Amino acid sequence: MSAHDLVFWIFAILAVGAAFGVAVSPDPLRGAILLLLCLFSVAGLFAWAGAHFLAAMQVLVYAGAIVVLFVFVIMLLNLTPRELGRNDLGGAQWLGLGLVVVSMVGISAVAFNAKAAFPTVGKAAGAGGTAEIGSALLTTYAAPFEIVSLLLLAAMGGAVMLVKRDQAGATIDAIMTIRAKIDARTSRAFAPDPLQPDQHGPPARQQAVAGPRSGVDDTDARKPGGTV
Amino acid sequence: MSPVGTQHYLVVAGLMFAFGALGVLWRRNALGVLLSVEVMLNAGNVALVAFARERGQVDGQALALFVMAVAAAEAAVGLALVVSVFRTRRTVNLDELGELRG
Repeated sequence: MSAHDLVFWIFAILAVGAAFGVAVSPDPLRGAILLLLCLFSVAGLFAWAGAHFLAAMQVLVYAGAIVVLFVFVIMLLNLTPRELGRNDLGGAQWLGLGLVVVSMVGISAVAFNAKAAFPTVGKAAGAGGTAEIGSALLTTYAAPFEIVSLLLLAAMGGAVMLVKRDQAGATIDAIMTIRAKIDARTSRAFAPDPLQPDQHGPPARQQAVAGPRSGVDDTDARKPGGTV
Repeated sequence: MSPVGTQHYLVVAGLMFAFGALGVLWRRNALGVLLSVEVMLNAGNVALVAFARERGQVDGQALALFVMAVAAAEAAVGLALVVSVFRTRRTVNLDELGELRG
């Protein structure tokens, strides 16, 4: 085994070991840190395969953005063990273990017996520069590239909508507060002075009862909503 | 030991995917499940890069970039869902969340 291959094996063992740790660690924060280790190891695997741009993107996007988002949510929620729930063994867990064993045996067998299907196995091909990926993204994959931008926009809007606390209720409350203020102000401005008898229109006494009181009622009724 | 080739990358990708699937089935809190889903997406990326290396083309790497974008969107929406559910239910234990069950 050459020193060059040794680098691959170090990254491979780290990636797989960290993936196992993510799967079984009961603490979400420890899981996130192990995921970080796994992602860095995968970035190393990408670089070893000649995909240098992808390795940089792996570190920037995954480690820099996604794991930070996970750690933010985990630490802000600050979950207790009761809120997290226990990891007790049930049917699904044993199904998962069986799946792992089948995958290990099956994929290893297929991969190592398929030399005929991989004619260039062991030869490192040279493609993977930033310029080549950039031109591929803007020619062959131009339509998916644009669709992904739409997807990110939709995800951003969806995430904001999901976590915004009681958006509709808050909007209605704000509108009602403003309307109450306008009502109060207009009724105060246009209501005739109860002490001055009005020349035209209904008698002054009726105005004095109806006008100002309706304005006061409005503000009183909507005050609880308005303070939210 | 044979020199490192595509088959070694595939074994690494398969193991990572299997452990991610194990995590999705094993973990009972939503955050752990989301972390495991990220591991599974990364396993797919490893396989894509391995085949791109073997064929000497960048198509696999371009596809891996799209997978990264989808993973970012999935993490954002998934975590927003977790936060939203935690606000109303005070738990992220998936076994206790059964309101949609008929």
